[in-house]
Amino acid sequence: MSRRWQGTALFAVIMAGVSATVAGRMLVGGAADHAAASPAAPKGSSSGSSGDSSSGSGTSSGDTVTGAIEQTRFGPVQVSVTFSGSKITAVTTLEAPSERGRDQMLTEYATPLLEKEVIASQSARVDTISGATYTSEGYLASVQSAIDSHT
Amino acid sequence: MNLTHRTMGTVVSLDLRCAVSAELVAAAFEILDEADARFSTFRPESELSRLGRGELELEAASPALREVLRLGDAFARASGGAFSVWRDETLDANGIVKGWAAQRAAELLVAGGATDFCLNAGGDLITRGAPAPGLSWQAGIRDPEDAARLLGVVALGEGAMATSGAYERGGHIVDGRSGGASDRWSSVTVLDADLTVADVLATAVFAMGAEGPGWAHEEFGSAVIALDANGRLSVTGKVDWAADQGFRVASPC
Amino acid sequence: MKRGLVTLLVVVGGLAVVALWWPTAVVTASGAALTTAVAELAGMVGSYLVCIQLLLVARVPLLERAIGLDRLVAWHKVVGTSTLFLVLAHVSFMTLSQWISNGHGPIAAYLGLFGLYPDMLTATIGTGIVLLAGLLSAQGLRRLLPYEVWYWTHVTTYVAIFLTFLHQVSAGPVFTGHPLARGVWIAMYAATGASILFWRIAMPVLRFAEHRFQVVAVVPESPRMTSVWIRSRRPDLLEVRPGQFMLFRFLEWGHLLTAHPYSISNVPADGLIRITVADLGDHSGRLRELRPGTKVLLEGPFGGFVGRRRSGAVLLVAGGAGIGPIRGLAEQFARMGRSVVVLYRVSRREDLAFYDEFTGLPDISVITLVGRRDELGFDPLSAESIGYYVPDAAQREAFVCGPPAMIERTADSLGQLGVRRVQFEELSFA
Repeated sequence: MSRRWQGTALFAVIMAGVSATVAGRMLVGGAADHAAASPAAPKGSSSGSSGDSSSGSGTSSGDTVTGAIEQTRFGPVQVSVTFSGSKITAVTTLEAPSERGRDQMLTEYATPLLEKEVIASQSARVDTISGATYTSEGYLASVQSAIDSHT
Repeated sequence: MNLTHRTMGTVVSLDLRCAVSAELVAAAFEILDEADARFSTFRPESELSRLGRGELELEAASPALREVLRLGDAFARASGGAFSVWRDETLDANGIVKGWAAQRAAELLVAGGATDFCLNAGGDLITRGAPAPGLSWQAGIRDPEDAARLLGVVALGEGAMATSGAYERGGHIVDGRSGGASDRWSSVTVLDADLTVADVLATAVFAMGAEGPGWAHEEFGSAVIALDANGRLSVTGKVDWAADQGFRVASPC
Repeated sequence: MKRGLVTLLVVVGGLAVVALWWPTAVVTASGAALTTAVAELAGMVGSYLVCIQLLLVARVPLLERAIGLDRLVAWHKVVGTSTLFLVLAHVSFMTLSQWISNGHGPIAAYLGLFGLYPDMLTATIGTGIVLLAGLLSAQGLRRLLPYEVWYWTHVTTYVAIFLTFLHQVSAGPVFTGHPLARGVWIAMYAATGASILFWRIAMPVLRFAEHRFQVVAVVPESPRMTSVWIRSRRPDLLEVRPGQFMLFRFLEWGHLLTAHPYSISNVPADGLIRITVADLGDHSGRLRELRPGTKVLLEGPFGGFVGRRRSGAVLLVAGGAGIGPIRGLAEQFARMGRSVVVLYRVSRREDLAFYDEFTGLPDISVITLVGRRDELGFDPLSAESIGYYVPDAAQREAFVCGPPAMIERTADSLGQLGVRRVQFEELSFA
């Protein structure tokens, strides 16, 4: 291969490798890494869009870690995470501190922080259920009726 | 004490953790029945239906009806038309009535001396006080795809929570601006101090789609939990989640 | 084999970069997430290769000996092309990611990045400089520019690299909040910088302090060729062989800003080295103006021919200015007792240099091939011609030095004649 195209070829090979690696990373997935990761905060970010960087490091007091101020596309957002051992048991989104950042956040997407694999295990006390209005018949099949009949 | 009452085509649950008289409870349920009678779109003789058909003049309508319509109009303007009390040229206040009526019922209970209760009107709920000393009211959010599962449990404390979705009564929530069905979200839950607001916003945010949660938080200070069609949960505003849930934190997308 | 080893190490380093990125990366199946991930990884690999690129030409003695300066420069160019494209890819994919999210078009998307990440302004400036430098180094454009312009644009890339480095550690998700990763990255750049400072700057200065190189004589060899004699006051420390080249930076106005490679054209003795340079229209033409006493900074020696065998006949083919290194080699081989034949090809008789020197040396046969091909009617460097002048070419080890086209033709001819061992030195180097 003549010299002048070697650089381009090398670039093409590298980009192919990068793409394959990214695809592999997506398939392997595992945000679970973060649950077991260091108390440095989980990386918050904006919704389905440009990945943002997180900055700073978190502080922890006991089991509740107030995460780093995450730089999201809307400005800084702070997340407080409670661990039970290495498992996260609660996540609270604190308001973004800066007015400007908050305003931006508010006019655009919300911040997705939790995956759907959220399981409200039976250990969480549930006093009542909110859902789209069920019919009377639907009520009977609902968890609400189970709660109502047990209280 | 847990009481249920069928009205408005659904079942209302009242979970009382304090002692109140039976008359007070009855009066609270009466408010809901009255609203049902006045605003039901399924009853041709309801005041709303008659108004919609032109059989009733607005000046002659009851103060309650006028207030609900005024509220509906205000929300329609605030939401840019995404929420509307008009559907297919007929009046339909279903997106506001349940929350409005339940809010008034709750205010009646409080005025009557009730300190600790949870009123759940078919999925729209409002709480006062605490279920027990040292605890706070915790409300789960139903998984739209599985009635037996929850998306999560919120440590609500005292407040109101309403959820909109297209999964129960089978109708589609329509974006009033375009007239088309909204499919950005599969479930929207709004937390607010006032159940009327929460109820309307849940519908409006659902109809608005992507910019809904931000708008609701900006204009009303409400918190919004929205589930999209891909199963991703979005949280806007401050939400306290109950402890002891098996959450997995996603990372940023 | 050493080349393979170095290549392997570079690849392993690249994999380590991927390993650095992997744990903290979050890639979900959305357009924005995928493009951002590609942008980040491409950026990191590109940044790593920038360090490799700099190390290749940092004049690290280990690399010089293992691979040789000319090949190192070739690699530097190849890697450089890929890093340029990787930087472009990084910027493009980040912009695309923003575009996907915001939908307002590429320019708005790029500007949107400024609101998201720190140090974007310096990164943009740095990238602009790198693009410009890359452009000016590109094959076609480079020939049109004076060496000095190219050289100084290249030097500004150091500034550019520093400017873009800032946003890597302050904005890159792999590094923010991960002090260990950041430490590794900074260490990589620091080591690269230190290597450059040490071997490209400190060493020549130290060497100068030792040798106190200075010009002792400037001798015109032919209308267009000039020799410059340089003396070192520490002959015992001078290790340079004929056929090798060094980088010369004459400390004189008009010469200060560039370091040029020139081949050694004598057999160094008593601390005296000689370069013989053809006037190619740039710096080389100004060597005549040098005055004795001018101090010189030297780097090297590099490359050059290495006699692989201790004995045996040699055939040296010089084209034009290639006579410089060939001249030194010829004498060296002759002193070793080997039979030396020099084919000296020039276009005009007045271009001949060193003719008298050669005739003064015993055991060297010089065959001059003078004249332009169209005038002669044949190619003196064709297989037939060389075979005629040097019947036993196939038994000789060959060294060829001259312009690229001449080398190609000669190599061809020698191959046809069955000459098995041939070494080349291209004069249009670096």
